[in-house]
Amino acid sequence: MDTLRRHWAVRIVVRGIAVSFIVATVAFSVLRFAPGDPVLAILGDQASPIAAEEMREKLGLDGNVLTQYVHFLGDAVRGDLGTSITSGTPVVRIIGDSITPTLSLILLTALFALVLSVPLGLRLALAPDGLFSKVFRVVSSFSLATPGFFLGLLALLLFAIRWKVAPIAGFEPTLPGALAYLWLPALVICAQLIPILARVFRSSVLRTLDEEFVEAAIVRGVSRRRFYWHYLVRPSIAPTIALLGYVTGQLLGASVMIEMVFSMPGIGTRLVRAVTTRDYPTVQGILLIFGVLVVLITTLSELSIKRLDPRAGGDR
Amino acid sequence: MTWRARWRDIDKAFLVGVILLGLIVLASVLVPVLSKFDPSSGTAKPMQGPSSANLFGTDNLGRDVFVRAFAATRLDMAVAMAAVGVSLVVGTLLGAVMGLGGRSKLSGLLSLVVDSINAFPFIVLALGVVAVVGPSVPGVLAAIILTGWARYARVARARAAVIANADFVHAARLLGYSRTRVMIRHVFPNVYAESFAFALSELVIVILAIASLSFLGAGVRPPTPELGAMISEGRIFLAQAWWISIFPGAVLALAALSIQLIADGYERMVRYA
Amino acid sequence: MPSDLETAGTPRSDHDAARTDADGDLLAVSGVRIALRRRSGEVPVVETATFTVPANGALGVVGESGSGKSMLSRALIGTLPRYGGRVTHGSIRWQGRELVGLPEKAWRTIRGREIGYVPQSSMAGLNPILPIGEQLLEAVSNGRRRVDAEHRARVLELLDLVRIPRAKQVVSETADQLSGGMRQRVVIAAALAQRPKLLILDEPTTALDVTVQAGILKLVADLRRELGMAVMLTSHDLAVIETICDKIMTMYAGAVIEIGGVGDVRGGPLHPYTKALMESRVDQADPTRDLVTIPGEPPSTGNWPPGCRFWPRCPVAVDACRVGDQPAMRSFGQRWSACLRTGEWL
Repeated sequence: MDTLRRHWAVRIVVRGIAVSFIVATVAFSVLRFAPGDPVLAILGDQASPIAAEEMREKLGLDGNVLTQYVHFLGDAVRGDLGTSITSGTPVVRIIGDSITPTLSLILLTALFALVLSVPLGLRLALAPDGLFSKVFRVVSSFSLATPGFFLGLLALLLFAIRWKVAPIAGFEPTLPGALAYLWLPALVICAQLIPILARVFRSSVLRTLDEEFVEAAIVRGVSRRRFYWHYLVRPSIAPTIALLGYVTGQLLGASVMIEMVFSMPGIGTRLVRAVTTRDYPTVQGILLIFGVLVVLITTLSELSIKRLDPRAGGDR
Repeated sequence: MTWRARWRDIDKAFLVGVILLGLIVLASVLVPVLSKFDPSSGTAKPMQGPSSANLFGTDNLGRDVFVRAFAATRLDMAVAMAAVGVSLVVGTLLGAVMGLGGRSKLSGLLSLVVDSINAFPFIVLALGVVAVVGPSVPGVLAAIILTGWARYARVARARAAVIANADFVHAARLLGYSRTRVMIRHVFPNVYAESFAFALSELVIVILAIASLSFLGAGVRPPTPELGAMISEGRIFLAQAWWISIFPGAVLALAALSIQLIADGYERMVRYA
Repeated sequence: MPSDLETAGTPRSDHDAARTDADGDLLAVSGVRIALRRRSGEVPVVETATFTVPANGALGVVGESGSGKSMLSRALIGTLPRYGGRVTHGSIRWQGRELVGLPEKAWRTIRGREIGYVPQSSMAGLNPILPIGEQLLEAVSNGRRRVDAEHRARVLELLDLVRIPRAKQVVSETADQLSGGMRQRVVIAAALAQRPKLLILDEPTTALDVTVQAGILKLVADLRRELGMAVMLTSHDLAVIETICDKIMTMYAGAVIEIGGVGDVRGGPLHPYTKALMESRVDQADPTRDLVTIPGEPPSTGNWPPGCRFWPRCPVAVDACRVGDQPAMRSFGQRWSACLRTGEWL
């Protein structure tokens, strides 16, 4: 039992669960501590006190904050996030219905980003002052300054409207069909993700190249394939995956924008609709899910880093 | 210092950024004043492509996209400056207090709040705040300040923790100066210097966030000219009239690029000075 | 092992000299200059190194950091291009074959196979993410695709050779699970995998504790005797070199300035720099007297003074030392010195 508690994987997971509770607290706080009164916002300033009190109860905003908090957490742990006030559907159902497109988009984006930025970073590291590196610098500063949703719109205009190689809108939840809808949005997010990841990977490869074990491998006559993978990529990849884990969490934000641009029925689209219709229980539930997803992704990336590179710390 | 030496010391990317931003700011002030078109009422034929009369074309309501784009830039810049200014001052102050507080209960609690706010994707939490405050200029301001201050706090916390242990601070304490005096005279000026560089790069993120919120319909609402809202309005006409969306987008991207160049150049100059 | 630290630590110059004289030279370096590419152009780091290593010989290269000894080692295994360096002049003959200008493909048949190499610090000499066994297998198979049971047996044999107990467990461990001394033993084992005729060790003990150092030095001395191979070892520590080597070569600011048998140099160095090195040794200092230090700093790479490079710090320098090029090496019987005054002040 004691050795189990000390195992790095257990520690990473336990910390993830602890952080989830903090994240839930933030989702809870937004509705309570942001300026303005949700009840008046829904019913208008002239609402009768009785109607207001009823709405307050419906939103879980009655009683003191501590009791509300205990109720909220208790319900959330049991899988109850309240019901939408616009449609009457349980929020958990809304999330369940819309999470597939979002998760598939995030997953494909992370995959594209990793697969593309590793060879790119390697190429940049092996010729740091070459023409390729210069072109990369210029292109990446342009794509970083362009807002993601505008880039998405440009891509939509060119690929979907002009060249008709991608669908304009929608999603399909089965596997081969989904890819047709996902590849373009994923690449649009990658356009901003890859410059960052490739640069980080490049600098860690440069650091690895200075290591003596690389020279030792050259002397040993290690085969080319083995050399690139075990002596350059694997020892250098930990910071990149750590960053990918962090950025993928933030990517959920980007995916909200991209889902809107490509009209994907994902959880980001639902969040925006809930915000504009003032559907507070749904906003609160989706915020919670976003927070938990960020924690989940960070935890997963920490676990995979430990597997790839035992030097990396998972127990700060 | 000679002219030539000074010219060499200035980062070229920084210079390009300053010129570009200067042109954009100038245009956003002058264009709405000098143009014969009104940014919020349609006086021309709708959906006309770019021409010498309407440089960026006209939108579906016959409004001149050129005037609207620069009126919108003025609004976006002003809101962004205000949001960054308030977040910078508040966030840095709280962060410095946290960094100096060490292991006290208050700074522990504040740190927890900061870290959990930072755990969320910025835009998602901002959407949550807009849901309560409402889609409007004050709503956008509140959303960006309430979620943005925590990032400055994180930077300032780290910086203040380092400075608090620096020799000159210990020396000042040993000389018998009060805690408050040491903070005001020695720690804050140092922390703010660092946070200013950070605020420059934050300005890019904030301008894009304002436009993003409005694009989603959770920010500045039409008919007020705002870049993100304009891009969103033009979206349905993308196939027939691309200019309604694309020109405001290009202006937004150029503004962001110019500030990015300034921020990067400033950091390089500070680092190698 | 029968020989203890005491005997391993004493110089065995006469014993070894008898063996090396019988064989031809394994390695003959003459007039080698090495330059590194920098922004400002090529900067010389080694100039006119001339020396030989006979079969079974053991050459110790002593010099401060920046003296060029590490770059010289890298010239012998063809990894200079990694550092932006190249041999600009001179020749390096390995068993009669010219190594200067050798294409990368041909290097593969020599380095790691005929010339083994142990890199500078044991901590960084092993890939941190690959199990020890895999890295040794790479060394055993040396670029060949197929790995068989014979190779695996050889890995265990190598670990045994460098006196690593519980070899069967060690093969599945990674470097961070081993102590510094153990890591260095593994690195040496990898270098020995192809039964090289010459083993180059670059500062093999610098990063280690003194007690661990002694163990590694004894191992190298024993291996050299058991395997009958030649050794070239660089160090800034004369004591390390005396433990293992039969010849000492002193380098200063990129120049080779003295070569001689260990016993001879110990008895009376020919060059004032070597003399100063001997006098400033901490391990043999007289506790009742102040430690002797060499005044001044060695010149940085590329900022060498005209004339003899040591003259600004030399107690016996005269006007002739301060002009012209670095003085050439002159022979004094079996020994060589680059000091203009060697004949006089002795």
